[in-house]
Amino acid sequence: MVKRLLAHIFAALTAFSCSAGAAPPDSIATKEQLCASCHGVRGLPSDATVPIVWGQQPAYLKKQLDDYKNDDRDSQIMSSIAESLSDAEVSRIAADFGGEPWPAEPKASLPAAPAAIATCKMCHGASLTGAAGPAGTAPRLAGQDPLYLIDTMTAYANGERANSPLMASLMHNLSITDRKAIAEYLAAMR
Amino acid sequence: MQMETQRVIGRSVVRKLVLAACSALALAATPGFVSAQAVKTGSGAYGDWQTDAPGVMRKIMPADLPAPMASPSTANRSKVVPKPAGAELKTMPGFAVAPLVTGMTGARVLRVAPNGDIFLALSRPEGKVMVIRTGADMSNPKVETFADGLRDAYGIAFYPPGPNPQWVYVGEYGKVVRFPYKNGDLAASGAPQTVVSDLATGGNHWTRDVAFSPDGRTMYVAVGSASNIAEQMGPRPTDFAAFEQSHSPGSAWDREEWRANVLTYTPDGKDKKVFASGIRNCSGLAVQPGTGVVYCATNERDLLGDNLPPDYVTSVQQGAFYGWPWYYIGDHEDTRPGGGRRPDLAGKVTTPDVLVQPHSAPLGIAFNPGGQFPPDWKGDAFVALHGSWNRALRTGYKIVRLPFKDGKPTGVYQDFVIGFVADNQNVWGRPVDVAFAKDGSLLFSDDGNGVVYRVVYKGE
Repeated sequence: MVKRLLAHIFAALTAFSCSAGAAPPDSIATKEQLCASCHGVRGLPSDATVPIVWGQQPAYLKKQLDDYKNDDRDSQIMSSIAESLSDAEVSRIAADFGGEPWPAEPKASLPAAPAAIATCKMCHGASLTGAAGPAGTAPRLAGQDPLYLIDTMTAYANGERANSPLMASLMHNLSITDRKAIAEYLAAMR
Repeated sequence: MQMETQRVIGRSVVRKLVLAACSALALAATPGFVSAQAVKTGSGAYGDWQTDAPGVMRKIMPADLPAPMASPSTANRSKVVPKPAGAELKTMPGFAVAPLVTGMTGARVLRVAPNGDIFLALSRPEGKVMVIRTGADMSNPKVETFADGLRDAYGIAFYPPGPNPQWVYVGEYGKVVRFPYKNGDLAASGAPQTVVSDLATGGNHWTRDVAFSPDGRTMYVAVGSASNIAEQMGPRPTDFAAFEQSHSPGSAWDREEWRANVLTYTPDGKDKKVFASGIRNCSGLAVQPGTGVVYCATNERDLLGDNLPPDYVTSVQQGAFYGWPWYYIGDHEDTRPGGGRRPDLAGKVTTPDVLVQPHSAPLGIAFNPGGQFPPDWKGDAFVALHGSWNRALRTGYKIVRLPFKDGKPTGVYQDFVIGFVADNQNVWGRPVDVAFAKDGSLLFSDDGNGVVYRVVYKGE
């Protein structure tokens, strides 16, 4: 064991000088470790404003990563991270996280649905778990954190998030009370 | 999602040993400008919010850099919370710190007018410039709106330099504008004029600081990069010699054209030139009084690990190249950027003056004109560290002092005001900019909870 460790050290010292330059390429596992540090090692983020991505629609995840890369969505942290991913890595990560189980199960019984929910279901699916459609793939909403949902609806409404013209116009027409009612209903679907 | 945990752990142990070996060698070779007992150097100069304390001095040298990915890259966003019960800011003996004004959402750049009025940019979500006027002994602050309707309002500079400015220049989204001004104005007396209309927009770095040379002939504008390290940048422009001639050697292209630099213009916005290139994000620009030397508080790149590369505060020399994206901290090569490698730039990278713990996020810098703080602190620079996201253990979230000697930085930086970090997740403030009030006290802004703080010196 010691001999192997010494061999490693020798290899490392010859491979990396003290003022070394080149960064060794990261495996996909290392990159996904970075995602987990905010999005949760078991899929549940510790910070309510970070969305659940485990079990999310893969096509939606891919679009968001592409949007961060292309500057269609603005976030210092996500932009730096997305920039470091190749197209192949984006597809792989979207598939990997999309393939995980959604980390929270929906309740058997729900509060009364607000009227506006009917509009959401048209794109997000009858059970609000997301669906492909002519405007792109709408993400799963059922069981997403209510704080994240409210922040997102607000960001679409005030232009802070601008990567979906359809969502922007829909959110414009919702009052703050409506948003809260929708977010609470969706969160109860955990 | 299986992780290759065992191999990852083995690699990190080996890297830690390499780091220790490198640091031991560097420590043996480091000359001491200041007393070695007082200043932490080598690997001991690295730490986190738990090793911060008022008065602690650190000096990180280029030889102290660990290998890339010596620690895995971590995302660790801070959460801004209201001030917890019992939390307080700490500063050095003889000093006291307290809020001056609160409720300043998006508080960022702070500049003091010749008459003592304090100008404050509220950058996001509203773009406004406020004026804080205080009474005797800086009591009873009143806040007025100088200008609104701006977007990402940031840098503020009075022109001409000196006791009687006629304009307030503001750097904002895509432009530099100026408002007519005379001493004592609390609101802009006229509509803004657009002086520069083609500042780069979009991408990660939106702050646009503005400053003037002491003779008033040159306007400096700092523009940060669009991306982290230009990984998506395409092949170099076809007539590359002409490009380097017109943009300054080391300048990047595509989405990064005219970015990651300090630009100069005439005060009328003409004659655009690159003053210095390869500066990833000079968020805070200041001109040293007396010498006219330009200084940048700069944010270096992400995703190389917890302790790499250092952020920095540096004098900016005309025509110099500071590395981004192909190099950092002198000749340390980063092979991840697009556009092809740059062996032609090796040996031509200027090393910054003061290296600061990686991921600290220096955003603002101001020079102490003297008048209140200890006499031998006259001419020192003070820097606001916004605080880290790309580090497992939080760092930054504090104000530091940079001792100068004979008008030059010593490379040392000292913890001056700390205490915003409640635990590894939660913080109750994020310093952005620093400025000296007319009475010589130090002001700093916090865009976490929208506060302007003031630090006074009462003597030992």
